[in-house]
Amino acid sequence: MIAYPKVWLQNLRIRRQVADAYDRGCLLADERAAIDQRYPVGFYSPNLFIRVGLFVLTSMISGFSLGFLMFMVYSAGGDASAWLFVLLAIGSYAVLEHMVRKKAHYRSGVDDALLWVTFGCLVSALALAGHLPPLLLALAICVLSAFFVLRFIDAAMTVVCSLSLFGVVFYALLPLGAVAKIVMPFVFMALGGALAVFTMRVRRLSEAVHYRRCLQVARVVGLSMLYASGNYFVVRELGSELTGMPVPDGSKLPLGWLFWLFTTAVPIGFAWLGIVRRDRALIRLALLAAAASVLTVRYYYHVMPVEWAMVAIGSVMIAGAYVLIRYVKDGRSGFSFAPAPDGADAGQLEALAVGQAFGAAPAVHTVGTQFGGGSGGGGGATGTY
Amino acid sequence: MDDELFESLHAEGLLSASSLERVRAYSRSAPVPLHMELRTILYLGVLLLSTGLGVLVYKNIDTIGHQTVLALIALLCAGCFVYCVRHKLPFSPLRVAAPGPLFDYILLLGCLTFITLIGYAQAQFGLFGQRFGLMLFIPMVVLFFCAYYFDHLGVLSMAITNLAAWCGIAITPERLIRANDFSSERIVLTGILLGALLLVAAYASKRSHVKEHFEFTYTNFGAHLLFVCALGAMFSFERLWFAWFLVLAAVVALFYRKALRERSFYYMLILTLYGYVGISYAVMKLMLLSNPEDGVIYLGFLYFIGSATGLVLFLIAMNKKIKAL
Repeated sequence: MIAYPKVWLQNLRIRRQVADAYDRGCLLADERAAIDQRYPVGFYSPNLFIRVGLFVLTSMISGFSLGFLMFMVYSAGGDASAWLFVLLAIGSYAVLEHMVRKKAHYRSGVDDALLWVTFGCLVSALALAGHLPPLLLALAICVLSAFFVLRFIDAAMTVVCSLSLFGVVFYALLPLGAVAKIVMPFVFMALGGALAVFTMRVRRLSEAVHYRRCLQVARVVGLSMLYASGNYFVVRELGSELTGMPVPDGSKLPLGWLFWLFTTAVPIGFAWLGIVRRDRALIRLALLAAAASVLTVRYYYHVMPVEWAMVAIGSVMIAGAYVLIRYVKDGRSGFSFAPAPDGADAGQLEALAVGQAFGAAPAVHTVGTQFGGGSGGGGGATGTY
Repeated sequence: MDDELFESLHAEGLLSASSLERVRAYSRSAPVPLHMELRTILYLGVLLLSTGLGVLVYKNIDTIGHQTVLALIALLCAGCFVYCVRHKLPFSPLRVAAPGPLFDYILLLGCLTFITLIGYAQAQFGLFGQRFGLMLFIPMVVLFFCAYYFDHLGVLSMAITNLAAWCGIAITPERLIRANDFSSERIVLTGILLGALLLVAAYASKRSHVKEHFEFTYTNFGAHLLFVCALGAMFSFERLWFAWFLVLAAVVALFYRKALRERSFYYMLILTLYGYVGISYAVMKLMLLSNPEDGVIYLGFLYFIGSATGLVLFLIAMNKKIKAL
């Protein structure tokens, strides 16, 4: 099913684990070299920057090819957009299979781009020509993306597949009317939880070893939907908008207390599970969910003005992080504060992010044209004076 | 880590028994690294705190309590710098590590509160009068000093951003393209000069061996500024566009040599993308000049398809070349 040669995928896994062990000082250099030699990998997987460049360019080529064909067809007076999309889809898929099978491309940017072009064109063709009801369109997207995930092990495509699954369930329930609105959050929460559990179970199977990354992604989507479907803001605002049954401002949501409970309890649950199981993904989700919950509370209840809230929360975060770092540094708790082995590039990126986020001179009126005038930059502690 | 894998590697004779023991020991204890998450929380905390303080100052500027607020912020700023001066490791032209996990963030907080104070002093007392340039200049000097004295890349980024702002240019990635007016000759020339200056600073860092790790930050800002200014000028100036195209070509050539010299995929990528935009613009201009009718659209499409394909082959070749160096 998988388009990439399995032996190489397996060898790649071995090499990565060995490299990781080597970075942590468990292995000797010559042992690693011997292992690398014993398990060769013949993929063409260029550097990340090259990969980005190839992705952009390949997408451009596809885009312009489509434009070229469309232009020819339209000037000749035709109107066959859907067929053009199908044509391009077939073409890019053919090139994709060729690149992967004959040229050994793997995460080269070219295969990424062609995969998405194919998928995008097929979906566009269906949307344009089929006049399909949303349920069938969601189902088609789900099946198509599942196929691509199974064949090309693409993490982003897994996100599409997981979300479209929720879409299918959504459109299937919609005809139920008012009942749908009440039941939907619970169904979604159950589905999210089921997805997370399902992926954990499948992960243990030996046949699924190449799909581990995709399964992790699906799990994260499931857990995120679990939180989001129970979040008060989402249930109230998005629920009313999506089902077309508006909730008047200021009114209480039926079962509102339950969703407030979910909004506060789910992040705590994630955090607790994450710490107990020492699962990084759960901890990160817990942090994001906690932030979302705080924002949700602020949206409905203005406890204090924004600036005081920022000062308070900022101070709490700094203090809390400091305490945690001290606690974790001992290493007794099962967590560590040691930076990842290849910190150098990350440090540069971090500095750039800091410059972007904080690099502000106090904003100034544009005065004159001398050197030294001009208006200051963006974020940070500024206002216009 | 997958213990089974290492067991079988050992069974194949590729792994010694002692290495296997080390692997086993590691996966037993296998601490979960929380480094990135904790650092993110610290950064967000500093961001929230400093922004909140700034808004607080701004909103309360006319009330009675603002003196207290200001005093507190000044105290916080002074406190941060005192902490940093006390705890920092001795200065050295080489890379100096932070003495503890909080050091970097306290320095950052100190610098941010200092900027807030300067802004307040200007708003409340008109400390700099009409000399807005001076108002930007002083924080910039302080930031540069702190960056070198305490060895902090983030503060260096902030200093460079302020330098650009003092020159009238917005240099952060988010605003570089949107916020600058490239149709003004002054802006473009300033940008080019500033970009060149940054590259010189980078070169000086390397040559003098003072804070060599600052080199990338200087070069990165300088590179993007130069490329974007050259492109911006090309798009804005109808008569002189070809001259600016030559300027762009020169910058591309400069970074091509640098990419090969330093085996950098990053520079290779950005020079390719910027150069491609420039070449495409030039080709489009020439096509429109010589052939202003319908057929040019077909030619345009064919050009883009052909050139992008050529560029794909170019990038693949460059990837191989850099890897082989």
